[in-house]
Amino acid sequence: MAVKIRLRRMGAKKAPFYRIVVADSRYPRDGRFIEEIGYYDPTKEPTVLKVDDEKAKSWIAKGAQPTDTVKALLKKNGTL
Amino acid sequence: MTKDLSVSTLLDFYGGLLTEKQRDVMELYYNDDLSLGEIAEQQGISRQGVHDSIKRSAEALNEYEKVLGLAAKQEDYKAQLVLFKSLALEVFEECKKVSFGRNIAEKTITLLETLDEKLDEFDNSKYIESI
Repeated sequence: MAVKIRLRRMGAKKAPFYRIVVADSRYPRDGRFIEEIGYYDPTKEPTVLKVDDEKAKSWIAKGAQPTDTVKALLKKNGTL
Repeated sequence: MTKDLSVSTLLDFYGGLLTEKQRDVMELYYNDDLSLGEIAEQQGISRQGVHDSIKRSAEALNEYEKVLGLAAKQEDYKAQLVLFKSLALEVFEECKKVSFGRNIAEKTITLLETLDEKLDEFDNSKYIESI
């Protein structure tokens, strides 16, 4: 039932890239997600992190649970 | 344990050497960012079992990288391409200064195009949508 905020790996073998998505924990695998709220690109130097603060905050206020990894990124971004 | 996302890159290279079950668990953990509990539920094994499997697989992947070093080599390769490109750009600028530089400039453009093609393989900006 829970709504989660998690990373989803995109990108080719040579270029990892992650989207930060809001998704229902019941169907994590089939690619369905509710909304994309940012992305994280570890291949750039320094790494690129972009998050829609408003959306992230409003989802968390509605009870969406960020994973530990996302929580760490949001903290780094100053959202949390 | 905190997730070390660089394992995801090792999984690209050496994932095929893991068993199918190990690979599934690793992909769920590192590429879909599921928790141990969620993976346990989905795979029908215990949370502890998932944890052990991830730990063992990560050790195996690190061992493969230690011996084969493909991920590190790829980083070198990319850095070299970037260096070559900056050198080629310098050559191109030099060509503009001399009257006999046209042939060299044309060849340099071909070289730059080839380098850009190779560097495109490392580009993931196509995944960025407006948010």
